[in-house]
Amino acid sequence: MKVEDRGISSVYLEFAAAEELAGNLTGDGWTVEREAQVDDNRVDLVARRGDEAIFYEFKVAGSASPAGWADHLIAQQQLARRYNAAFRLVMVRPPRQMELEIEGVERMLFDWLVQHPPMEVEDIAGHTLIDDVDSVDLTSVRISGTTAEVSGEAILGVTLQTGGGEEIGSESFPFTFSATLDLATASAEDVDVHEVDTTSWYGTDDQDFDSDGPPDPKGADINEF
Amino acid sequence: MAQYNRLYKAAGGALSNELTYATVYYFVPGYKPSNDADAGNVNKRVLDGLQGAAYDDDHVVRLVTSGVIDYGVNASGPLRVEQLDLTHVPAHALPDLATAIAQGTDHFLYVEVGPLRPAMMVFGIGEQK
Repeated sequence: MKVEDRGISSVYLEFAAAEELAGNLTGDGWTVEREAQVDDNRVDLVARRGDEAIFYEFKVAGSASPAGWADHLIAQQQLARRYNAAFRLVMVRPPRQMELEIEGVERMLFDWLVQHPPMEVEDIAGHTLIDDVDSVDLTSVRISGTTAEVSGEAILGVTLQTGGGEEIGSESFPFTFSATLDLATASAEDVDVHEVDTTSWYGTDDQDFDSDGPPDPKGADINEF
Repeated sequence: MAQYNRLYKAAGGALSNELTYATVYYFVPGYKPSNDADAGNVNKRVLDGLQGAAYDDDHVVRLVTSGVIDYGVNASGPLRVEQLDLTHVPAHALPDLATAIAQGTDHFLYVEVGPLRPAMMVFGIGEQK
């Protein structure tokens, strides 16, 4: 899992920083105006207290600067000085990008799903054997003690058999889930499979003219199983 | 050291032996104490390096403000902000400073040198908000 703060837009980071600063300034007795219109210019934040005024410009460190940003900064400084205000540049520094892995998460999910196969894949054939869980991508992780609450997506590998045990084939289905993991025993306490994408088996609606079973071009018929 | 002389002259600086103030800010993305110079070391090198260009001897420098400005994407810990007061950056210097910040230039120095004026020696700056 990548804790991907760069994915959060610069706009959001600037907004978050401006919110925090506005709160602090207000607490110190300043009157704050966000996105203030001053003459023909927009100032990210203007703070006033008595005769004092401060114009603030926000910039996410390391983010691509729009063309002319340096000129914009100069114009903002000159504007502030015309209004006898201080001019401050707020460099917003995003948190370090982190990578987080839970060792053995595939195995924990696999062990659970072998015991509790999702209904969507059980219904496909006479027998559905869970082969593996792969490509786990965690989108959120909350760890408390030795318990991890996680959610994400992964690939479920299965072997499909007829009711008589004849192998039909193998399939891989993406699925989304949330789970509670016991890190001490490296096992899943609970797994909630939200959705299994079985379109690789059933096909999309425009492939499947009778909207039942695998795509018609494959010629299979689940009623035979 | 000759580099500071050259840059100072290129910026139009003249030699003076008046009492002087100096401001030296070292911009470093992701400051690492083990690798990067600290504020004191940086200003010492700069002030030494300006001898012969800004003044004959750096003993005329009676006030020095120096700082390390850690900027860039890789801050440690949560979202952080650095506030830079640019109100009085001279008009001829602001374009270069703004461009360096905008481009995320790796390691650069902002240096000001000028005559010492009354009340530049400020005390209790920690009390200012």
